[in-house]
Amino acid sequence: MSETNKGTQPPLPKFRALPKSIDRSLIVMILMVVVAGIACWFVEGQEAFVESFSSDLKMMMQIVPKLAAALLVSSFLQLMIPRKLVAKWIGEESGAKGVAIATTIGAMTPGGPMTSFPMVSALAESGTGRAPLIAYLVSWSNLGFQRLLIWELPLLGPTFLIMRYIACLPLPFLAAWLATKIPMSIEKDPKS
Amino acid sequence: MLDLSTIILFLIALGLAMMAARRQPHIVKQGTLMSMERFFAVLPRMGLAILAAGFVSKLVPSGPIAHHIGPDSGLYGILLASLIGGFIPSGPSVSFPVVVILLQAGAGFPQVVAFLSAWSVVALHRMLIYEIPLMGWRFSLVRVVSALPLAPLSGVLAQIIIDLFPMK
Repeated sequence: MSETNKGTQPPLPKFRALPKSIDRSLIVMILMVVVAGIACWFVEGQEAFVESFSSDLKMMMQIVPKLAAALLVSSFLQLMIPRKLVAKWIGEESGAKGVAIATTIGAMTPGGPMTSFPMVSALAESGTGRAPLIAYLVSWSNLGFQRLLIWELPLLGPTFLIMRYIACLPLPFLAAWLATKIPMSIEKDPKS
Repeated sequence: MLDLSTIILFLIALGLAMMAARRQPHIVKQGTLMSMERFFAVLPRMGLAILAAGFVSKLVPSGPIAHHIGPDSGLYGILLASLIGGFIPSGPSVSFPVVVILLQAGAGFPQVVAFLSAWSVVALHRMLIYEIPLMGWRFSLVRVVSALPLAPLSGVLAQIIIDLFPMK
């Protein structure tokens, strides 16, 4: 970063009133909708098309407030949880406690792989064991609150979410335990 | 339009904003702007995903899906769903609508849980783009091997939970 202000205030994110210039994934999705819509119209008939369209609109109306609320929560949490402190917590503890902390923090880590992997890589370099690292990754990808709030809750509903969460809660611990049983180095360039 | 879970989320957001206002007031503005920016980024994707899912679910024949990964497909369905989920190379904007389609076409909850676990934990695309370059292939291999049993296990656990507490 070339910015000169080193105050405590991080720079404000750029705000765009309109969606980012239409990118590739959006075009792919638009094409998918068009193709699926045309196929639906011709294969299943106009009635099925209209029925599908109107029930989708209803679903959208229900999702909009949910999405807004979910985004507020996830944005505030993302800004309020100091990443450096978090890395310190995971790095310092070991054993079952370390795995439990890594699991909790993994679930709380917002953002995509571009935020989580740099942290995992830094932790690995500072000597954190494989068990907490793997617990962290499993927890972040499977139990991460951001994905859960933004996608799972609006699309699949709270009952499904709670059931799945309980079923998946043991996964980070199991993966961490299994990882310690694998007789193989995880170093990038093991010195032979 | 506002159900209980939405109201709870808004209350949590309000609580967080109040906490932030006391300690780091700039976060309130920053967080609100960030949410708005994301809202406009996610909303068109979600809208398109729902539309595509709606049309596709009309087209997908529910017979084979209900047969192979339906609620009565048991362990076979859980294993099959885990296998398919592990090969979905995309982010949540594809996988969650796929789950909506599968459920509408008659897939069972435990099978769908296994599908989501496999997709999220194995994540081939993420492995190739981020994990192997940053962590090395040895780490990736150890992680994937330790993650293999997770998806089927989560499906079995989901089945147990549903048997204990039947969902409507």
